[in-house]
Amino acid sequence: MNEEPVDLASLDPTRDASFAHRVSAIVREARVGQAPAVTDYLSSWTRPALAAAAVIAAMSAIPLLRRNPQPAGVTTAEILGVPPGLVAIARSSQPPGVTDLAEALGVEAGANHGR
Amino acid sequence: MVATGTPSDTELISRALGGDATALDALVRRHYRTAFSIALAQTGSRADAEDACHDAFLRAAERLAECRDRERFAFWLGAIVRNRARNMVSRGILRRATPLEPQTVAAREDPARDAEVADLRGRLEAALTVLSATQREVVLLHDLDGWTHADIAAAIGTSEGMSRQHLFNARRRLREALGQNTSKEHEHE
Repeated sequence: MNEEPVDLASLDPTRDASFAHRVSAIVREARVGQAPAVTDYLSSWTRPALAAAAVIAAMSAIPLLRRNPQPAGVTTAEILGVPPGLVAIARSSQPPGVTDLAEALGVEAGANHGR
Repeated sequence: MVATGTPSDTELISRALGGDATALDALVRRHYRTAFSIALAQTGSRADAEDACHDAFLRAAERLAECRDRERFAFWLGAIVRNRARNMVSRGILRRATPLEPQTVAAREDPARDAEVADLRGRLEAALTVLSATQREVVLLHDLDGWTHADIAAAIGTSEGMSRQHLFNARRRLREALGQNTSKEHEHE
């Protein structure tokens, strides 16, 4: 094994003229034992998170606002495709007759008679 | 490592945590060479190593109370320096200054001697670039900072045998890069 050390003394940073300056800069700027608390991390994290949430909410609202509003007067029954005759029967306080039901369903009353 | 009569790392840390700036000053002076060796090994540039050391010491000071095994402060600090330097490399926030920076060489009475030292430093820094980061760290900690293989192995997470192997290879490649005659070394073996 090669046991001869390489002379690296010229790399020694403590021999630099600027060494004392570097050390004093560290000592001057150091905040000994003052590591950021958890609350500091949280507060630094909360603001960007809230800002991001606000941006996402605003972006999500755009397509909702652009969608055409539903025409006035359209009922749920119409949207579901319930025949208007049945809707009228349902709204009426009177019990429907056979003819009324047949008309509402678009079936000829007595069509099966005689079969 | 610490000479008799000088305060131990444990004592300096306690005093620094109590607000004694001179204790922090002593701690930085004592461990700067180690920190610099590790940072230089990772970044490959003197200017970047100095930046990494500065940031790492500030971070270590902030978290000084978290250093549980205070007699092993050098290892704890070394890990902080290594992480900081690696982050600088991975994020590409390196200055990549030219290896030779004559203005940082200690001012002496003899300008010729200054030039000689600056020239040697430049050639050494250029030669170090042919080594791997691990080889650089081993050779710098051992030959510049006087660490033992046991300590180096513990610091970089390898065995003493591998540390010796890294040192052997690093010295051989350094001498080749410096243009030194390695055959003479083998005659000594």
